[in-house]
Amino acid sequence: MLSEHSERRRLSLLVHDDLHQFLCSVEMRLTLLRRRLQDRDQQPVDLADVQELEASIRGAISIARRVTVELSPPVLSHEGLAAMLGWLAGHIQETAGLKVDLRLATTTLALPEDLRVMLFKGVRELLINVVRHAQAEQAWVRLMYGGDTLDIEVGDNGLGFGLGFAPQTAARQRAQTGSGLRHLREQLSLFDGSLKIRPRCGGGSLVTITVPAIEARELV
Amino acid sequence: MKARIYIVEDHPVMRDMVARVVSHMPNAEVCGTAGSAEQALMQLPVVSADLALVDVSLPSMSGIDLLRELKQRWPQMRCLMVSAHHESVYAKHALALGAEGYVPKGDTDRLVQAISGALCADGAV
Repeated sequence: MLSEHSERRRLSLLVHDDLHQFLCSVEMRLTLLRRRLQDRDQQPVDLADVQELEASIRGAISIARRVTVELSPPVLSHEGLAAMLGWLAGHIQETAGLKVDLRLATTTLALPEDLRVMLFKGVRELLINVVRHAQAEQAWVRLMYGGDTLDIEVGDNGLGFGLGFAPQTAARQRAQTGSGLRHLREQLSLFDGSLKIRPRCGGGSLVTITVPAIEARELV
Repeated sequence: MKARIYIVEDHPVMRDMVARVVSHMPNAEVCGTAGSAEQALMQLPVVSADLALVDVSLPSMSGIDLLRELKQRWPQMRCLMVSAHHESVYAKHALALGAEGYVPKGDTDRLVQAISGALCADGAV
């Protein structure tokens, strides 16, 4: 698993960026309504105001549901890696608007749970980096089984690392992204795995996670 | 004449709500909004804002960095920081950089008070 600090920071940002902002806006909406109810000179509260408030609460519930799923994706507990990556691609597309293509090996592998979860979280970290920093239109995840190794390539057609930002900002982006990648590299080393990062010809970046296939027992 | 308020907030729902709060004030109006510090730095020179409401947490360049930049470029510009972070360390930092105030998000009454206070401080309204 990625470091606890990194994971907590990611979840804290999720709660701050989504749920907290939404609930604050609901509170502000209620205060405006209260002021209109108290002040007879203001436009009276009507059905449209209540409907707007209902929509806000529905939005907050939807975000709370999403935060719950992010905290513990249900797919983690009982699915294989391919199904987990399929869920992740759909989730990133739905919540962040980034199109993620999946190219999966036809071979089915049974991976130890700790490796499976670590790979899932690693790919999620890489895709979140793409969403936050790459300004990419498209990303993809390739799962390749080469007999001796299991490779997962995460690519995008965005800016590449640190490009397109002001110098100060680029340095901070590199530091944040670098910290996440460092943790991922540390976790991979526990499984004799590795991480390779290279620029993509034509723009964007390619990150490849490699773990020995000895960790996987071939089923088919 | 109404005071001109510029809003820098990356969250669209919150940006809309802060704009609504300002538009309900009898002595203030929204002269522009931005979803990032970079966008604000491009627009602020042309919108003649009396006060900038700046979210502390912005993507890319932070609200604190934007405050520092605004006070360097236009020392007379009044800035009120708005944040979901209630930690005093952020508030101390913002005030040390010259912010006119620091308001927690969601508290409409305090936001209105802080805007009025910042505008009245040197006779803007």
